[in-house]
Amino acid sequence: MRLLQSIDSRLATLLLAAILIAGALGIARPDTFLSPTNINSMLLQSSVIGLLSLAVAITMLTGGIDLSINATANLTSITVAILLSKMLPPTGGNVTLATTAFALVVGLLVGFSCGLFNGFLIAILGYSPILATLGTMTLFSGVGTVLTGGDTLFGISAFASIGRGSVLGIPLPAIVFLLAALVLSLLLEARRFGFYVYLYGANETAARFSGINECRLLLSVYAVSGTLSAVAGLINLGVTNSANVDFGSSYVLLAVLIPVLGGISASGGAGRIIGVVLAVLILQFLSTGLNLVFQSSGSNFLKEFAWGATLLVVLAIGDRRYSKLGRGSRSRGRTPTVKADNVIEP
Amino acid sequence: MTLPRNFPRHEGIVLVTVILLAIAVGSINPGFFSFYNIFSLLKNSTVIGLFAIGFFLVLVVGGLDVSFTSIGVASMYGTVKLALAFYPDAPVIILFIVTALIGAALGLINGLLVTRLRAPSLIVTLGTMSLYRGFLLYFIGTAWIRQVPSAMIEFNQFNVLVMTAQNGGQVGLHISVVIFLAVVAIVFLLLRYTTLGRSLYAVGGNPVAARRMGINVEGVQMLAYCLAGTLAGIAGFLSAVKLRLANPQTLTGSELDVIAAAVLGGAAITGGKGSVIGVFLGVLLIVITNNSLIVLGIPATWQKVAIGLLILVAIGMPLLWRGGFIASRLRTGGRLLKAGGASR
Repeated sequence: MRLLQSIDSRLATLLLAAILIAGALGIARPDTFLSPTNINSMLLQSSVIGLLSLAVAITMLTGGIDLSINATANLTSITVAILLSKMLPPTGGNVTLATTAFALVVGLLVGFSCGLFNGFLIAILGYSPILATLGTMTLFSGVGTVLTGGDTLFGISAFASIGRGSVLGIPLPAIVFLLAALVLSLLLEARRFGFYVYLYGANETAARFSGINECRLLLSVYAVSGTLSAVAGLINLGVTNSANVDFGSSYVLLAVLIPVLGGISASGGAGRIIGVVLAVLILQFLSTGLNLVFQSSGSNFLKEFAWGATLLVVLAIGDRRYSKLGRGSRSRGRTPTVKADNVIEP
Repeated sequence: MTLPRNFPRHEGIVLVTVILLAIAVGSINPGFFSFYNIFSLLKNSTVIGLFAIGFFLVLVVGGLDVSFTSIGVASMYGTVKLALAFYPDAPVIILFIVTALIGAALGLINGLLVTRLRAPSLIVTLGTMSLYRGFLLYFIGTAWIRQVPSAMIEFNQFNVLVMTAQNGGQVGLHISVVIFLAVVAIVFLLLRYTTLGRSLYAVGGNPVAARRMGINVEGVQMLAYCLAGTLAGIAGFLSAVKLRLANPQTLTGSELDVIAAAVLGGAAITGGKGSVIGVFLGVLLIVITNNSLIVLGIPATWQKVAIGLLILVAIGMPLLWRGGFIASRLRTGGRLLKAGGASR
């Protein structure tokens, strides 16, 4: 019960922080911050990074991590861009709906297979998630380099119109992000799969002894992560209408930061998807705010500094409750690397 | 197995791989074995090598420090800025001390945060990585400094061992190679023959047992991060010396090479394993591979794929010896309830 209460207070804090930051910016720059153009562009920007954060969040819940998200997203958008440009009718004109749908499915399959490959390395060969996904990060972006020859590919207009479309005034990418968050949330909180994910993240050994098929679980988790990255890549292709290997290399840090900020325990087993969604909003407000207030050329570097500081502050104030060791006794002398199941009280 | 029992299996395999690769490259391009090429390979491995040894020290205590390039660049750029502002004629030894101290301070911050926050070290150092880099680039500066202190330029031209090459030109062994080899030797002796060095392995191998033995676990961990920061500071400074240019945006992106070198050398990400000799060989393997992919006929666009595969295979090598493990994973899916699987 205490855990439940603490999660809710965490969510309340996040919600309050989001409202306060938005309110402060709204008062400071009422004409620019609250303008429909700005709100639209914030929603557009946050949906790609939001999807990547969801992809990291689910692997973090199992106590792992996926650093290849960005490379997977870029590989997906590159594949789809190539596919679409190859399928353009030679007579000119645009691709049909069926070919677009086909390209979308192929893109999702690319992300799914990338994720499955990560899962294979981690679950069956026993690689550590960090090293496996660091390696596949290079591998996937290497494959992307081979496909593009290092150039930037440009998408095609039919696809871009989808990326820039909107329903009831809400940009389509934002809707996709919220839907993905909703589906993932339901999957984690109302299905057996989610129960296994939390159990495995909280205590691997207990999960193994309770008869969970560890390989299947990890394979599915990393496949889901790869598929979410692929969705991010498709949206990115739609919005920017271009694809290259180096796109968004700073997103990896952000996509790790956001779940931690949103209350996903970095050692696994605790945290909720709704927290991740709130954290995405907070970071987007902060980043837009910094851009509006410091309109100098270096504000990107200030942002990098601010993100690093935010991550450390959040780790410092927020995570005691979630860390497996902080939960019980508060003795100072324990190391973070000790797994809960190894600790024997003297 | 015909190998003697105590043969360092992993190091041995890496050594054989390095030799085979060298023979392969040398047979395609005989210039590979020239003094000029060997000296320049060694010179190219010093920066990666120093980073890798620092990274390895943190791995040994069971941590993961990915902020080393940020520390290296921040120390280097800070040192050059300080020197130009206060003491442009500073002898090179002072510059080395300053960069090492800045690196040590940043490493100590890492160590304090990792031991106090009790969060995974990867996440903490990802945070400090962007913290240091953002601080450097926003508050200190983004400009390239071409007018570096004169001591750095002199040091750049300082060779210890000058030979005459086949074509009559002079080739020299750069002083940075000597520094690198000295660091390898010192860390080797430290890890192998001192109580402190053994306690690094003890903390990484089993922190609970190490604490019961009376080792100050937090202290040892902080020391490892601090040493890693120091070595990163020196490595960053050497990279600027080689280019005679202080560029605050350099080095990012070389993290993976360093991590690969340490892991190739047999260091385990779970801590408590590996040796400096292994890391040294891992560095050689990475540098030779990076420099020889073209000679081996791998087109430029395929290089990243080749390096990614090399890294994955390198990480996988120690795992593949546990063939039984993989077979049992495939059979039981990792469950422990089935008969025969519950051997843990």
